[in-house]
Amino acid sequence: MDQQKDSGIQEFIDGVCHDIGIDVLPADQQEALRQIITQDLNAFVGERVFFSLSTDKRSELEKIIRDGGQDQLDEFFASATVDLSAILQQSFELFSMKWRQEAADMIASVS
Amino acid sequence: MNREQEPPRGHEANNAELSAEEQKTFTPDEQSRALQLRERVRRELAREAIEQPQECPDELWGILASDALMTQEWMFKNFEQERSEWERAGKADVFDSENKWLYENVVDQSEHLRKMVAFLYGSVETEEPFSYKDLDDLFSVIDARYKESRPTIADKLRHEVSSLFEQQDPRVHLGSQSLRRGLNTGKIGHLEKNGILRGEEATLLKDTVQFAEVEAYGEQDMIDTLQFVAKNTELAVGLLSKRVGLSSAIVHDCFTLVLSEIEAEYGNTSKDDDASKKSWLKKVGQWFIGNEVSQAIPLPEKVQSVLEHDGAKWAHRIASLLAASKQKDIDSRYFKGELYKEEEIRNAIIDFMRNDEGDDFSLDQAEEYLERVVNLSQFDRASSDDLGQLRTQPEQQPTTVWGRMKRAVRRGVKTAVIEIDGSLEEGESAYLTSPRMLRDAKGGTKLDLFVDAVEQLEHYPGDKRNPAFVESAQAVERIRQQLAHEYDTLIKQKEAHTKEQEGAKQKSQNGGVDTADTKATSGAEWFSVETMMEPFAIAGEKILGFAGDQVKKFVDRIKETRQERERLRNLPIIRAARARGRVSAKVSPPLKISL
Repeated sequence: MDQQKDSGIQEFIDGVCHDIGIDVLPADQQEALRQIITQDLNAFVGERVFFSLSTDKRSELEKIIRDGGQDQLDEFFASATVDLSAILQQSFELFSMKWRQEAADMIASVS
Repeated sequence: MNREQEPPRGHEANNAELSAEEQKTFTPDEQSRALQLRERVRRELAREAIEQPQECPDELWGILASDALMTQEWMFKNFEQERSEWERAGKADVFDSENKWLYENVVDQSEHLRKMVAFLYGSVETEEPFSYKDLDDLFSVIDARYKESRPTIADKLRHEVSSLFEQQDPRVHLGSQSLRRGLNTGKIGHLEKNGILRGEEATLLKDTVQFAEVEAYGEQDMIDTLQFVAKNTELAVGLLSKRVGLSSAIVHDCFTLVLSEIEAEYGNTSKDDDASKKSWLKKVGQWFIGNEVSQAIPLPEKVQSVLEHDGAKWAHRIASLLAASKQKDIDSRYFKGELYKEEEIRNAIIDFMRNDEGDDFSLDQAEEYLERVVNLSQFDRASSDDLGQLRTQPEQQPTTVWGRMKRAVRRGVKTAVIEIDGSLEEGESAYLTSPRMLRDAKGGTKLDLFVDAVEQLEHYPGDKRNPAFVESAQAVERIRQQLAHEYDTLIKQKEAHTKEQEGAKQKSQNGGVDTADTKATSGAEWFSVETMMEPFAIAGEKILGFAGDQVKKFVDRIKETRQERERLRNLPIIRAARARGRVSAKVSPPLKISL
């Protein structure tokens, strides 16, 4: 998570949390929900990027994720045919929508 | 090729979808029917997803898109082949006429795909064309996902969609070649001149059909227009659906009904009553042509009732189905307006099945039944206003056939897993009743039949001696076993994954020496079990960390938008209005509203 601190991710997650009105929850629950959202964002982005790759590239990415470092990731996305920026942007937008919907569903189920 | 010979679209003889057990125990005919049943469920899922996109998880869109693509692929391949044979025999016209339904299907599929694209790119509003970049993005995903198994699909679609894009009308693009042949008559000019077609629509059609000379607008023109519409059902339905804002199914029904009435009214009567015929046709034509006109001109009674009365919608659908089965009694009761209540319709079906076919309920009947149920479910949805309300107040959603079906499947899956694996750990329960689980289970071989079987159990009258009930129960049991097996496999894969991770850890401690375990589950297998989200989360975390600069930009943009909203909210005029109590001081976030 340290890696993400300076990258705006936390800011984005703060925004999502704000959108769904997290501040009405007790502090410990806020933190728990923030963790869930963070983990969900990671999985959401990971899945979307992964499935945008060819099978060969998926294998390669898997190895880099497991054993490699940032340089390898850099090389990987430079050579991959996917537009990472577009996927990320779309993922962020969809992720915000998704959580707003989740919140609305949650409210509807208890109200 | 006619309707009777219609193959399972997009899944032609794809026995790989049947389990080994099914392949062994089902007769070829049963196998074929099982595949077709599955296909129908799949298509209905697609329809459901399109009509209620908010309820459809992203993952399902991928599955649906692949189905649409496969269907398109099948159509292009087989249709073109077959037609060229007829063409060689000089009977292309006959072929075209007999296969009108196929054109309709192409249009239908194109529409589905178009909506999927729209949804995937974050807009449920499908009026606007997509950018080439959007399409490219989509195809990069499709390429990656389906390249191995179906190498030609993406290329074919890419070409077709490019063509669509140039023509600005998604309805026509995918079936453009087929559709062109179908649209060889008509008076597009009329439709454009009278505001029925927008400029770009007319231009599109002009590019695809040969026009007759446009004369001054008059009764003859109206009749010509009707003839055009009659000869081009698929287009008419698409346009009407779009214009009038009705679902294409209802428009199609109305259209069929009116045409059949024209035929019944005038088809067998003396030819000298042309004035009356023209007058009536004109009225119908005016209704078809103007969505406002429909308010002013009295519609044929039957059309009116189909359009306006929910019960009548149901009744009409059932009447059509039963009429097709030569159940004229029910048909006439509908026309007399007797069958207007949902309950009555259901009873009519049950009676029909009990009295006429219930004694020998088999896959045949399951197929029929499913068709009835899914058609009912189309009308089980309320108007768009009601749908909007349902979305904001889901707890008030009426128990629909489809909803019950989905819940039944979820319950069934959960029960099966608990039986096999004992009580669930924290988090597993939610997962097992989630759309994701449904998606994963769909990846197996049995879910569609499971849906069907559970549905039958839930709704069939409770006489357990009835062969239908027994057969359904057996089907559920068979499917439960299959799901059990699949779940077992999943657990094994999960264990293998854990083992691999441990192996990898050991490997790094052993100076990077590959062990048998790490070799066995290396490469893409690590990700191959879609139910395991951990690898995705790890990958996502690293990717997000890696792409920090880009992420930062998005976040800054989002922040700017938010600040802009705040700025607007604090404009003096808004503050003044607030002070007078006209604008609320703060827009409460959703959770706050509930509390």
